[in-house]
Amino acid sequence: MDTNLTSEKSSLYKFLSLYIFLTIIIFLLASTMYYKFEKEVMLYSKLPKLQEYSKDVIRRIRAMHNSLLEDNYYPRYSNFKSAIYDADYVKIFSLLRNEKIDFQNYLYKRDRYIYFIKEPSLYYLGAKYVVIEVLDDEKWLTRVYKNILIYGGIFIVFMAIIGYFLGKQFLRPMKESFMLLNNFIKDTTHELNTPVSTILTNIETIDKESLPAKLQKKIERIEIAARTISVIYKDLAYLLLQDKIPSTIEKIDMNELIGQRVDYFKTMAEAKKIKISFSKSPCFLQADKQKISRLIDNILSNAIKYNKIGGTIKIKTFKNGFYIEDSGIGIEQSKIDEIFERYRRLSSSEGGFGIGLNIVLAIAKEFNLQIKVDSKINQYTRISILWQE
Amino acid sequence: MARVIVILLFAFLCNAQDFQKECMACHQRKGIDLKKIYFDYLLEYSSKRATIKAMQEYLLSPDPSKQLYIDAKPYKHKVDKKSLDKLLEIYWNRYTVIGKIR
Repeated sequence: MDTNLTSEKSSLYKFLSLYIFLTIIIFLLASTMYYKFEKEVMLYSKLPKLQEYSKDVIRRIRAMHNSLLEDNYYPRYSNFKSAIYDADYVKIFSLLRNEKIDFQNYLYKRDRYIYFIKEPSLYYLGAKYVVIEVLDDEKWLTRVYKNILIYGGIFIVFMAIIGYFLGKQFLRPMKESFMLLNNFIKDTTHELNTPVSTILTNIETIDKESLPAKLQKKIERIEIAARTISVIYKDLAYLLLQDKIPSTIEKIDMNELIGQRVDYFKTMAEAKKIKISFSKSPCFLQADKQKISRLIDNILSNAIKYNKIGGTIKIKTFKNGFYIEDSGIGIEQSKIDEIFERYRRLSSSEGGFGIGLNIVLAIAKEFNLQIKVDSKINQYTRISILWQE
Repeated sequence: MARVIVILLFAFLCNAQDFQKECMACHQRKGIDLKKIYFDYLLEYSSKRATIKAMQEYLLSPDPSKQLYIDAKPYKHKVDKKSLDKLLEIYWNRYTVIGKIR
């Protein structure tokens, strides 16, 4: 059944979404760790050079210190910049581009610069910290991004493929159960058709007028029950085969078709003493007759089911549509949109599966028909079917 | 406001004169280089706070084990703590390296 295949697909998509989401989380974590690792490797690869630079600066400030600052020219280098800070992090002298120093880390990268902090054994010129700043060419970063993109992409695709097959494996038992249920419903539906048709055909051949009133009543009850089963059968058959049966488009005289369907439900309506009035105007529709019959049957059977004893059903056709109005329990305004959902039943006072109006909606969509629902609680429900000229 | 500034300036000049008269003159006489002492302390203590604290402790109660400048004998300076604070501030500002490096 289509419903089951859809729900199977939906479950598969949900599983895959969750799986891919988790995969992406793992990917992000792994990428972050890889990035940090590569950054550390890069920083430590620069360490010997940075130590060399700091030694040069210390050598120079020692000379300045020993001259009691008679020689006060601070060293300048083309490949790095430096600064000196005292024990209380007060700047003594700086050539740095960024003077916001993190004294807790002796080797780190901020923005595009690498910083190295060296503590000399003696505080020449009062310098407890010698800070070296070098520009990072970030070649390593380009390589890291490239690797993350390439290997990360491969990883995600690989995990998605595995996830797809895993999902299929996990869903196989569910699919098998669906198929079993599907076949069971198909077989049962098929087996229902013959006995129900036989009952109805035989009832129609009985001359009810010649029967005693008591027996006549019993026959009518059998007829109502058989017709109810027949409607359910036709709905199930529609659900099972809706995509497999091509529509035969023809010009339908809606007055004639509605009249036939009213006759079909006459016995059921009479059992609840419901009066049906039918106001006719010329009304034609280009559609599949069988499917439009299903649409009318479902609206009519609901109008009977949810009507009160002795109520009325008003049917009116007009140029571009028709409506069926009952005098039943009505529908709350806030719930009107919900009545077309499959398996949605707003009232449990009557039997049914909640598929009737969903079928109405499907047929209306197929033939571009507009459905309009007007209702007032405990007063009426009017379902109008409208179409363009 | 102007009065306050004048008083502060006067106090500073008085202290600066004291430093010239009391500290510099005596050290010159004894041939003990104040600048050399400053750089020796800086080499050991780094920051202004730590350097002044160490100098103060040593000057108020000279301890040979804490003596940095070895060319002179420990000498107990006849100065009270409050005056010493002001003199050391002048001493620090006179020889500080901050702002003198180019």
